[in-house]
Amino acid sequence: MVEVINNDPLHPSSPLEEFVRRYLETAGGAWDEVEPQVYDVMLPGEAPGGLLRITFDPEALPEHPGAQLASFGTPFIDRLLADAVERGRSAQFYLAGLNLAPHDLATRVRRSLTLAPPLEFRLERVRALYFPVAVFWFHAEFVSDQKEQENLAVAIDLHYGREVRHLDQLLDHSRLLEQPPLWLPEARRSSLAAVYPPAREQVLRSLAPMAGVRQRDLAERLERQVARMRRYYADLREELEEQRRRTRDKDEAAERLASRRVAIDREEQVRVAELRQKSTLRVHLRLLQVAMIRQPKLLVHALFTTPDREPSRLELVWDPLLEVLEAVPCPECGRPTYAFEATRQGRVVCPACIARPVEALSRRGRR
Amino acid sequence: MAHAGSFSPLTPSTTLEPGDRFEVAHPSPDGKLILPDLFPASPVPSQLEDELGNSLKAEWQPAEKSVIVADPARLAAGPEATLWLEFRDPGRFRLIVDPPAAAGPTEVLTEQGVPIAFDPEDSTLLHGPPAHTAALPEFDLSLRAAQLATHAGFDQLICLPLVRDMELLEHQVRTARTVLQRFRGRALLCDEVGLGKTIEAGLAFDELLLRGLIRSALVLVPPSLIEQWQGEMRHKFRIDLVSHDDPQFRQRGPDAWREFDLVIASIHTAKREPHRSAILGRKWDLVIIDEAHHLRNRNTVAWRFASELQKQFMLLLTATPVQNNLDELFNLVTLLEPGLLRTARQFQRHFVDRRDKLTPRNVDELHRLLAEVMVRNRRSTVGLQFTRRLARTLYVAPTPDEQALYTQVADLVRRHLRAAGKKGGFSRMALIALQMALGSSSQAAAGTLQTLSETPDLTAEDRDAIRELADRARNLGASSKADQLLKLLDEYPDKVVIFTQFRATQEMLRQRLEQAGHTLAVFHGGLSRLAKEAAINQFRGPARLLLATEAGSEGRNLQFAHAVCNFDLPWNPMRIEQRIGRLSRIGQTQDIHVFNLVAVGTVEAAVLHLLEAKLNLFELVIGEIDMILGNLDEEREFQDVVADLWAESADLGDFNRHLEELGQRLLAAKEAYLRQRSHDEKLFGDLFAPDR
Repeated sequence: MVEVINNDPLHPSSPLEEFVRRYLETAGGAWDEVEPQVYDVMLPGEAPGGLLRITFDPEALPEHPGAQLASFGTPFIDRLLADAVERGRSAQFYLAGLNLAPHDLATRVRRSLTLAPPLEFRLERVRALYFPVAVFWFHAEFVSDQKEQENLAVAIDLHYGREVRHLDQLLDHSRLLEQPPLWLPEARRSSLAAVYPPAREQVLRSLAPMAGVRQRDLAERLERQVARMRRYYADLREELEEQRRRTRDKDEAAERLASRRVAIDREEQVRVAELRQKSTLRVHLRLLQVAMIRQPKLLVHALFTTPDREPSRLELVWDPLLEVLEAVPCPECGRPTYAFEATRQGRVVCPACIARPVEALSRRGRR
Repeated sequence: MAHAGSFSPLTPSTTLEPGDRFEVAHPSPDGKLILPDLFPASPVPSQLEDELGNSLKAEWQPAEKSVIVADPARLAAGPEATLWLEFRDPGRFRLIVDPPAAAGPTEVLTEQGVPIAFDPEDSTLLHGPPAHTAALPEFDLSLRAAQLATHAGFDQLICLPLVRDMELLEHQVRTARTVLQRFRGRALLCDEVGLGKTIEAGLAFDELLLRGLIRSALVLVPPSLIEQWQGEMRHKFRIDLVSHDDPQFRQRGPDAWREFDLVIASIHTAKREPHRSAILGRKWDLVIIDEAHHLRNRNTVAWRFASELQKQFMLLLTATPVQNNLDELFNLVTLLEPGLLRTARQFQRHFVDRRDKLTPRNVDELHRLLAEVMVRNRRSTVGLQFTRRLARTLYVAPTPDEQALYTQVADLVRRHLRAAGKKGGFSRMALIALQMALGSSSQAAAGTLQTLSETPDLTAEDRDAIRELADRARNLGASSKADQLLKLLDEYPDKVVIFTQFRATQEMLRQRLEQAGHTLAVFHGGLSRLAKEAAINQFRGPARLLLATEAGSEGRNLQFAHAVCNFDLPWNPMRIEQRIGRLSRIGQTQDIHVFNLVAVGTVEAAVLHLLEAKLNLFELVIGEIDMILGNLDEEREFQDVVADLWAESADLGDFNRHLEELGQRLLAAKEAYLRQRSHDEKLFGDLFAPDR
């Protein structure tokens, strides 16, 4: 099938048109541009010859009466979007092109650390390993009388189990490969299932304020509307009462007006209940996609020494993508840190742990 | 692969070390474990142990990157457990089963008490290596699809990159956002005329459609604006509205109202049976009513009809929500938000001055309430001024032959108009079309005369007379108006859009202009979509002239040109305004020249005189003419009023006298409009600007 490149500046392709072409090329369908914005397409999995004519321009419909209009909200586009999302829900890639033999690594690692004298550092050995990062894309839907959606991404380092924020660099297409560019073992890591709860927790931290703002708006609006509604029906009842006072035939009017009054009361109840229902906010959170990015990093086995004490060993991680030493979990409290001091017993801990009472420290250390 | 290296400490080792792990998928029922991509190809493993170090009977299949465990039941750990193969030493691996974490909550409450529900299907993506991993293009496509299918709040309007062929103005975008965000899709759009209420409504309409928040919409407009709306929605917003007059709609009968979801109709038609019941019998996600001032009176059929519509979102468009009394404002607002201004009686008591029904009381409170549904942009606040229109009418003296033909055909038309509808007569529509064609060119009249001569049941005498007139019209070589046009084009050197109502006139002009060496593009409703675009592009480029009929030009902007020539004149001033509006609109940077070519002693000359003298037609802002005609208190379309007067008149002098009376009514309507405009200024001022 011949592709016609659309170079006509007066007919720039719409984002939707670009998407449909990419979808067909990627998913195994085919397209032929009959004329600007009018296509014959074959959907993936369709038998050859099962052509469908579509147009992105309603003005083309009279000339192509058999064509389907392709626009947002049509079943055709909804189906393509859903299928495209489904095809890419799970992915794993390898980051390539990183320098695994950085110049003067020992010095650069040492410079990254703040060591309280007399603590000294020595690099023992270095391993190159794949360190996986899981990127989760969540889809949040806020539903009240309106519907708003948000996609939120969060990346978790599976080795340390903590969030990483350099998503753009991680997803840089120029570095991503589907197959490992070189064979390396994988660093010790958690499973996706294990890091999903903290990832979701992270997303909830962003989501809760978003929901809060919407909830506040809805509550304020509801309060205003209900007050107004109550006043409106009170007006109606008052007018009814006025009619009753003016009517000469009180008995006949009483019955008629009483049933009218009941109707007003009932209508008020129904409409207030409707308002309340419309103003209830619910949020639905769904995991849309997960990509596991395996990035080569250097696992640095380091020796920390103090005079007259047994040396302590720590594993540090050098990130060749960002060219930084990653913060190291304190062996005592687990908090990420770059600063270390030696306890009297010679253990290497972060300054916060040094400041803690000795008993607490040793209790924690014993655990 | 080496397993023991003798590297320097700073050379990274890439070997496998005891404790290194690989996640594996759960075994198939026959015990087959698929090894992951990173599992080393050599040396071939020979031993498999369980977590306690007990040997597991297993058959390694390196070629298939798998291992078959003899007793898979021993690995039964539930589908949510994680399996790892841990390297012990070369050839020896340990199979480790991590039990699943405890199932978390299915829903949490935020501090403000908003429930956030989690999707139980999430776990399908989390356990074990996935059954299908996307390639990079698939993954990219998936991200793009997720982005396209996700609709964030109305802070960002997703329709903006998709609108075509227009430069959106800030106030229009802000208005659409305000309507959707603050007014939740129910609003009274009261911009001053010419600021683009249609565009604002179109943006809100498109946005709701794109987000899947609406599937059905009913657009109600005056009959003369149906085509204009259809054209603008189709061309600028890709929204295909079907009109109740379209053949595809009519052939479905009353069912059509249920079957078509995006419909445009005139409110006059919609409020009448059988349409009324069909329209009220279904739900509409969105209802748009243009020129909503026709609904100011709640005792009319139209208001009751609008109030009974089942709708979720509603947009009412009018530049003049108040004309005679504040009740009219109450009536419009009550269509949108019943109860907002309380009951009619309470509204009068609380908000209307007893001595003057146009003067509000408790103004601040009224403004506060109105601000919940009403948005109003003003030219002075949006910083928008239209360029001037410089109109020049060229009265052309017809040749004796043209004059003779005109007189004879006009007599014929008038005579038959009086008898219209009687057996054997011509239809009124055909006769008016003939009179208009005659005002355009003899070539246009020739075709219409020829068609009329083929009407069945004509007497032989009439048929011969009409054929004779058709022949004379066809063979009349000269066109004094065309000669005048050529002179005009010599005087005015820039691009010009020449409008005519008739294809025959267009063809005659094409020949004359090309013979005279002019470069031109021809545009008419019969062209294909691409040919239309090509014609516009040609005019944008090398062609100096665009020879256009109105048909099909709706919604197309020609602001790059600065002159319009009305080679013939529609009797309906709205049509004249729409022609000029193709150029004289937002985005036009220069003054517009309007040239009118009119033959002396014709209906068109008299109508044009009326419109210029009484209304200053060419100095009005787009939209104002409709406001004025709306004040005429006239059920008929303006051109029907003119046609009736023409039919009633004994001759041109009599017709002019009748027009003079119509002129007085027009004058009164214009004055009413100006009073109304000034009152709106006082009442609303700058208070209802859209959100920033």
